[in-house]
Amino acid sequence: MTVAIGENPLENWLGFSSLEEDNERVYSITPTDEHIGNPLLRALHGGVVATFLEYAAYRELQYILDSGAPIEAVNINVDYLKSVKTRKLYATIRIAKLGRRLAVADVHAWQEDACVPVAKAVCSFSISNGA
Amino acid sequence: MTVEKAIPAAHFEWLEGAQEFFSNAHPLFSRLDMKPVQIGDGDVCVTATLNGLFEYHANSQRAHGGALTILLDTVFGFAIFAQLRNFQSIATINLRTDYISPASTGLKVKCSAQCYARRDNIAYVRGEIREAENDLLVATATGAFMVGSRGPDFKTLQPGAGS
Repeated sequence: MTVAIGENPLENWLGFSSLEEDNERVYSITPTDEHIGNPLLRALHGGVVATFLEYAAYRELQYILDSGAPIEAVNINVDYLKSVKTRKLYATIRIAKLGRRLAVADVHAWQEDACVPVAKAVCSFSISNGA
Repeated sequence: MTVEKAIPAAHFEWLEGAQEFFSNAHPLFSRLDMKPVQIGDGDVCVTATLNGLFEYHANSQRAHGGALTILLDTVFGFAIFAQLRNFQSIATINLRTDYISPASTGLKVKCSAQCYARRDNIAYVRGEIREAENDLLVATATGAFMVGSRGPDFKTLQPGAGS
């Protein structure tokens, strides 16, 4: 699923994309100098990493619900495990809970090696059921 | 090394650095138009405007919560610098953000943060974002940071300081 350029400012800014692999979606961003927190280390800003992790979880939940129901982030808790470089950053999501009104997602992010996580997050979302 | 009454001078230098920290030199900070409005002892307040690039549905004018987390993470770091009175290298260990009310793009907000505790090289910070105009609570957050993490001092990022 790709989004046309200009349609989603946040996705354009992050260089966001998703790829389906063995029935699992891998989300990624392509960081640039815009996303750096510490220019000398050339490390990504922690808030940018958090933005990506939360947005990836949101997109995964949208995909799974497939209902267009409004999803609102309740909170996010991010752990920074390694310095994140200006190289491609990947994330996969495990939905820990999917209820009628609440979903909890575990997010794992890595760069070169999927076995070496650089950040992880737990994101909670409330789901509106319309009626 | 001379022992002199360097405290006022050092303090002045830190305040100058603080202004430059939020100058247009940093692409991400200038994107959010961050401006310090209060700099106390581990207690700071910064105004910002949520840039349109954080819109995540076409023409929705809804800013993604990430804009708030970027602001909080930055101002939290700044609160630690304000307590240390220098720009030592720091690293975020973890950060929790609670989204209280939805924010629209273009919204002017104020982010306040307090470095309320230190234990050895760990600093604990809490803070919140409110709408600048009506004080409505937008988000609250807490974070833990490693002070003196490996890596260059933020001071060396200031124009004219070092190479």
